[in-house]
Amino acid sequence: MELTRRQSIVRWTLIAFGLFYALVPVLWVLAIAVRPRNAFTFPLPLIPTEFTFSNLREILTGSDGIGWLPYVNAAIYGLGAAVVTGVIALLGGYALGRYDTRYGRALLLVFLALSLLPDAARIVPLFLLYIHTGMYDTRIGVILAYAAGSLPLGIWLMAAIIRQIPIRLEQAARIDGAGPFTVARRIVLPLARPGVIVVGTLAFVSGWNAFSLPLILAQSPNIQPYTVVLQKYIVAEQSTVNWTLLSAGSLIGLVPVLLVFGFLQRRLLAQGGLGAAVRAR
Amino acid sequence: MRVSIRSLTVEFGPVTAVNDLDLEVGDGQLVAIVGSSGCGKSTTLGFVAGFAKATTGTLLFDEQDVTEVSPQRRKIGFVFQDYAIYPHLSAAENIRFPLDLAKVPRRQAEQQVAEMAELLDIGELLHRRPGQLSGGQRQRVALARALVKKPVVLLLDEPLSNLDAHLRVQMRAEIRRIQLGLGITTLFVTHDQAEALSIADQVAVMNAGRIETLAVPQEVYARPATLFTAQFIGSPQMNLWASDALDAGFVRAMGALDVVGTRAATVGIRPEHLTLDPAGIHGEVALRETLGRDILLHVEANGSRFLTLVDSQVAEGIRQGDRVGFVADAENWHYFDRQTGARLELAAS
Repeated sequence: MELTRRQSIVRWTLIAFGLFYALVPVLWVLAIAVRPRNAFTFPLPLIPTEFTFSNLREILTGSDGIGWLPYVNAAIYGLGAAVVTGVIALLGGYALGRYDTRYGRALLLVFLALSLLPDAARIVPLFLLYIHTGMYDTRIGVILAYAAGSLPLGIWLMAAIIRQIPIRLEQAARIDGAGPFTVARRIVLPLARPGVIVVGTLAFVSGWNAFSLPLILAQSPNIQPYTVVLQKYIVAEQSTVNWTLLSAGSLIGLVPVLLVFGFLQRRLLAQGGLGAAVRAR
Repeated sequence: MRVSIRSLTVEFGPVTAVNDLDLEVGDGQLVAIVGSSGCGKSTTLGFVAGFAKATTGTLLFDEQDVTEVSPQRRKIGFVFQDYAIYPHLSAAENIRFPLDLAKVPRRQAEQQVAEMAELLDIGELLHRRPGQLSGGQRQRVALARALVKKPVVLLLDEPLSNLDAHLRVQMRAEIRRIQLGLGITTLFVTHDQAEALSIADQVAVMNAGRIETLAVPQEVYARPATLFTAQFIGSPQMNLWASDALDAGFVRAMGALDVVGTRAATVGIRPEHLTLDPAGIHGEVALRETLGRDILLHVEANGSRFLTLVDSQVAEGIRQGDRVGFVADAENWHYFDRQTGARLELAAS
């Protein structure tokens, strides 16, 4: 659809405002992370006068840094949550999306409500549960806690996606000689893949960025993700904040998220589905 | 393969979709099931395919009871109204899908796909995705996929409803040609009576979960067995009146039997059997519709409205508001029992 000149101006103004709102904090972190530590003086110039990668190197390998392990941990939590959420959301979403029952609809509403529940509301019960089941301070505990957090929205989204796959296709495949398992593998799975990728990605990002749950549930330093470990720059001695290293650590944390969204965008556009609808305009 | 449906009843909760239905399709025959939406025709087809669970009923392929056989083992081909071709597979992969599942060796499968593509004239489209195919082309792919595994029975559920009018006429002839060529037993479900008449060996008219009439197309049209069939088959519709709504003298003058007072009947005559004749009953033209070769006149006479179909050359010069006379031959009238709807054979005496 062609936009009028005025519509076009309004549109670009809104886009510019949105970009500014989203990008300025990120650019700010970037600007702080790449300046030398001794250049962090007030008043702080917006554009760094000197440029260095030493902070990033320090974070990963230096004596003041946090090393690779916290990032590896975050990746484990993100990928673990993505896999668990993707698989269970597909199965649950199929059941609730395909079989339209009164209880199913009620359950979906409950799931939607649950997906709005903040992490903070789950911490205390999870803590007690984990203490009594031996899951406290384990990686699998953190993964399951995050998968559980991503699942309600995941199931809700998958149910909607499954509903868009005509049941006729499954019936056609049955007639073509496919058993239930073959129908799932060769018809439902390929058609639901864009949805699984979206749900998995959302779960990955929330697992990667996880802070409050691992803060409570993962006590051992060797299983803490970077989000928790980076706190040491805030609560450091002399109650000062080490802004440059904190920014550098955050910047590293940002990279996988950007990569994932780049991948997601390309994949979805290539896959059709949601992407095709967007591209068609 | 002969297909027999025996005393089929399908209930969805309190709704009875199919009510004690019997239907026999002879080997190599094409039977069209026609009826308005909700009459149970698609449910009946679903039962033959194995989707619809019957409350009671038996399905026989020849003498073999296949009621409990799952859809994937019934060796049937099915074409859906919305085609249901797999959007993530190319046309060739769609057609090959049943062969892959049957573990047909790749080279043999490719060859069978090529044969089907030739039969349906879609050779150049094989590499395309469904999204790049038109409705008619998708329909051909769906038909090729249904036929490629050489099914014993072909089931077609409103296969032409989503096509343009001219394509529909073309495809129905195509389906008939292929069906006759392969000699495959076929059930064809449609809501379009003209389609059913044109394509079928036998037409089954369904209403409220039952088969009203099962007969060859000509018979269904010329001697409808029930009042419902008379109303449903034929376009424009048959003229029908309650016998006592018409004046006895008027009825006699029209060439119909005087059934007024003798029994509660419904009398009917097809629009093409009313011919213009100044010597006949007179009425006023209330509406004149041009149908192409023919002109449909709505004539008000004796307090009722008659539809009469006349050749456009004959109708030339007739305008709305003109008075016209028309007559009908005695043998063209139909009589139906008003209570049961059954056809009455009343000999002219």
